Amino acid sequence: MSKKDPNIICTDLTRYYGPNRGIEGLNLSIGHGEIFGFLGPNGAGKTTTIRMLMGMLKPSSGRATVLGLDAWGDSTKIKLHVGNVPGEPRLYENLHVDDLLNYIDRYRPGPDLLREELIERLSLDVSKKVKALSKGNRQKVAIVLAMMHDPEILILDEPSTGLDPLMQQEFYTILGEFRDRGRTVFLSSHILSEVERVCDRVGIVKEGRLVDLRAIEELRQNKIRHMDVIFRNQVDATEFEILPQVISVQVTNNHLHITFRGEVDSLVKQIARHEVEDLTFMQPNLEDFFMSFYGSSGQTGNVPEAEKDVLP
Amino acid sequence: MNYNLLRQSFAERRVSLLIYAIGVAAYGIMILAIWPSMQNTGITELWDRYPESIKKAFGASINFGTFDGFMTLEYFAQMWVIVMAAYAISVATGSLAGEIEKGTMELLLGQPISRRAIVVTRHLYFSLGLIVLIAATLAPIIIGAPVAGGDISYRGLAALSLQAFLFYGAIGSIAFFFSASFSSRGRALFASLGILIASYALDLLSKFSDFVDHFHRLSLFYYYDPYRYVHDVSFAWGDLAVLAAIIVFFTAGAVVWFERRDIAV
Repeated sequence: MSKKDPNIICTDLTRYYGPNRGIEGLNLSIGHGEIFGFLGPNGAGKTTTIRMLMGMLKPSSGRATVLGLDAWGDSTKIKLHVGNVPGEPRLYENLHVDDLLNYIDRYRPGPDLLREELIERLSLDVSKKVKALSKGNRQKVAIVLAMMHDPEILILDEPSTGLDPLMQQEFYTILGEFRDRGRTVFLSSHILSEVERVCDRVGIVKEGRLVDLRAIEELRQNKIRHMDVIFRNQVDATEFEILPQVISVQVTNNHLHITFRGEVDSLVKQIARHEVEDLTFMQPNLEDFFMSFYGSSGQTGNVPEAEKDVLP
Repeated sequence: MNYNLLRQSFAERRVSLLIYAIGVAAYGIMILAIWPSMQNTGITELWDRYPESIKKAFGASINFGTFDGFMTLEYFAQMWVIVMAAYAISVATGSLAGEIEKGTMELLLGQPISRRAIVVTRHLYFSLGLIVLIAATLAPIIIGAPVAGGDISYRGLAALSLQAFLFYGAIGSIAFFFSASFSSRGRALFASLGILIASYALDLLSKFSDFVDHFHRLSLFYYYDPYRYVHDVSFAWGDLAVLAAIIVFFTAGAVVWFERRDIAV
């Protein structure tokens, strides 16, 4: 397999649980040195996809390959090169963290190059028993277990759950360093800001189907955002309404609630012409995001032709 | 087989294995200690006066007045079966279904270890544990029998070891199959216990009913006759082969099933 080949390819990947849909007709290819965000609400099919990539679930139809190997049939070989943080990591409760790390380390022939560095950067106490750890610390253990061998591919299911903001920031930095070393990261999340912060590309999945696939920059430019501004004096709302990116302005005395899409620069400059008492910039939640992009049905897909090319 | 998983299996379950080992050894020592006081109490005559149906249920051919007969009736055919079967079912159902239920199977399967290796290694751990428990049961009897004035054949005990290993191995292998099939330890436990209890009931009923006796060979207990081994030192090679075949069949079934199934914790 050459460096030019994608590390992860899903071709018409479908999984049903009896009559219930898990994921349907997923076509994706993820290259080297890329952090790919797999974004969607709970129940959209993210975990099902990850479990098929990890060889836990057999596809109902279609195929997933990781490093050119079949995710179901060659699962054992694949895992030599893959680190995984499951959605809800369950660890051996009676082991000390250090013993757990040693135990998992012995499954791979290579050294655990990043173990000490990760322990230090995530401030993990390895002397404690797993059962004595908080949710956040368990998540840190799961992250160290997945990353300590510096795997070629990381498959992460909601990995920042339970981490405090400082640790989240450190974790994102570590992910960035992985990418810079040419590693591939498949990151499932339902947190838009997280995906925006660390990913290069995002696939948006809703009700079991990939509804959109685009570069993160494009996502940033197109999403709807809200700004609350309290001016010291009354201002004329029309000077904001005429800006091309502004969708609507609601006025309550000196308080303006501005809804806009796209670049923020000219809007901020317009605001700065007045005396500002307070300014709040709100990130849209996932539901707002879906509403703004796809309406409630999520049917207006925008999957590039290039991704469809992975079809046989 | 995966050495790392085998080592971890022993580390994880060493306390419970030790408790089982102490339990079977202590119970054996207790029965040994009773023997001297039972020898001259007319227990044989009492046994002879028992109704035929009762004697049939416990093993009509057993001579209660001999040390090996006493050990068989008081231990090898009673409490030992319960404890060893409990060990077999508990370890087997905890090894696969138990790990799926707890969620730790996802961590294990996230490592470069095949599903086949997981089943085979866990089964090997179970089998080594069986050997430890059989040794822990028989060692105090071998050492203590002369002290307690009991006469027992060492060859008979060796023969009993082989039979016990295959019999409890068969129970464990059936439980492994259910453990590989279900995601809930409770279900695997229920199915395994169901087979065991049905098997015991069939064995018991076949001693009273000629009709049921036609199906006696379907019971696992048909193939477990500790008195024959410990007293007569007579190997029923056909029965041992059936037990070995059950082990191979259900273990292979567990591997095949576990390799093909979804693991969704």
